[in-house]
Amino acid sequence: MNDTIHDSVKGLLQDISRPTEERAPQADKIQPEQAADTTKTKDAGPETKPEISEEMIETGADLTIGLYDFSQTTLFSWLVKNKKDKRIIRLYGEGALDKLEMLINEKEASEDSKASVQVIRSFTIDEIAMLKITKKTDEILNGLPMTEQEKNLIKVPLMEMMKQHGGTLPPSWALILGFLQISGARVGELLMF
Amino acid sequence: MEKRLNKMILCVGRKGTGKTTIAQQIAKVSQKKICVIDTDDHPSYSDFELFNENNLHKWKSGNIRIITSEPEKVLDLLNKKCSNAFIIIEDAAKIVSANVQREVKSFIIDHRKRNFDVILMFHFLADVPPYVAKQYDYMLLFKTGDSLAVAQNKFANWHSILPMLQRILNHPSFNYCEKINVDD
Repeated sequence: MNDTIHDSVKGLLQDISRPTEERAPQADKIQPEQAADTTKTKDAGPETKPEISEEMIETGADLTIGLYDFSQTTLFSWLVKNKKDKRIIRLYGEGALDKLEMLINEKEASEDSKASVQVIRSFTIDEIAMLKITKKTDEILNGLPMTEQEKNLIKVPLMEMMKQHGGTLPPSWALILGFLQISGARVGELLMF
Repeated sequence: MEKRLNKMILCVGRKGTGKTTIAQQIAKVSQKKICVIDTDDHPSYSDFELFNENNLHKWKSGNIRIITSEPEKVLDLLNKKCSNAFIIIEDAAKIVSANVQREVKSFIIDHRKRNFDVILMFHFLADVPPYVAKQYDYMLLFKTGDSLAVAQNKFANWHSILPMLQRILNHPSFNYCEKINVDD
C-alpha cells in the first residue's frame, strides 16, 4: 500500500486515536458536541431506552436475595434464641440457662458416642428436656439461611421483574418485602415451639 | 485532552483494494478491543480469536472475530451485553441492507450509547442503505465499479463524493483511497 493512502487517512487516524469518553454501557448522556450541533443533517433516529445488561440485572438480583437472606437470618436467629432462653427460664427457673450451658459442655466433652450415652443417662428428665429444646432451636437456626437451590429458584422471576423496571427492584416491591419480613418474624415468633 | 465522539466509518471499494488493511489500522489506533463480524472466514483476521456469539457477555478484552449466519443476533447481543469496542462489519451489504432488521437498526442508531466505533465495509456505494448514508462520520472511498446513477440518490453530499470518486477511478494505483468527512 503506498504512502498516498496513509496520507489520506492521516486525519482519520489522528481523530480515532483520541480517546472517547469512557461511559457505562447504559449511559444516556448527550455529548456536548451533539447537543450543540443543530446544523448536521444526520438522522439521530428515535429515542430508545438505554439497555441494562443481563449481567448487571443478575448481580442486582443476587445482591437483593443476599441482603434479604442476611437480614432474615440475623433477625430470626436473634428471635429464636431469645424465645428459647425465655422458655427455659419460664419452665425451669432463673439458673436454668447456666445449668444448660454446663450440660452442653458435659455432653460435648464425652469423646465417643458410648461415653455420650452414659452422660445422657445420668441426666434428669428436665435436663434432657432442656437439651431437646436446644437441639430443636439449633435445627431451626441451621435451616434459616436460604439454600443455593432456593436462591436460584427466586432469582429467575426476580430478574424478570427487575428487567421490567429498568434493572431495579420497584419501591412497592421493596416495601412488600419489608412488610413480609417484619410480619414473618412476628408470626414465626408466635408459632415457634 | 479533547474527547471525541464515537465514529461510524464507511469503507467502500472493490475486493483487493485494501479496505480490510486500512480498517485494521484504524481500529488498532483506537486502542479499543476489536470485534469483527463476518459471514465468511476472512484470512486477514486469522490472528483474532474466533469467538462464539453466545459467549459475547464474557468478552472483556482482546480482539475477536465472529463468523455467523445470524449477524442481526450478534449485533443485538453486542448492543445488550458489550460496550467500549471497535466493531468491524465485513461485507456489510449482507447485514445492513435496505430491508434492515430492528436489531441491526438499533445497533447502528445506538452505537454511541454503547461507546462503539463502527466500520462498515461495502463493495459498492450503491449498497449503502439510505439511513446509513445519513449517519456516517467518515467514508473511505476506494475504487468501485458503481453505477453512478444508483449511488448518487443515496448521498446528500454527492457533490463532494463525485469528484473524489473520479479522482480515485483515474488514479494509477489500485489501492488509492480518499477520505470524506461529513463535518468538513
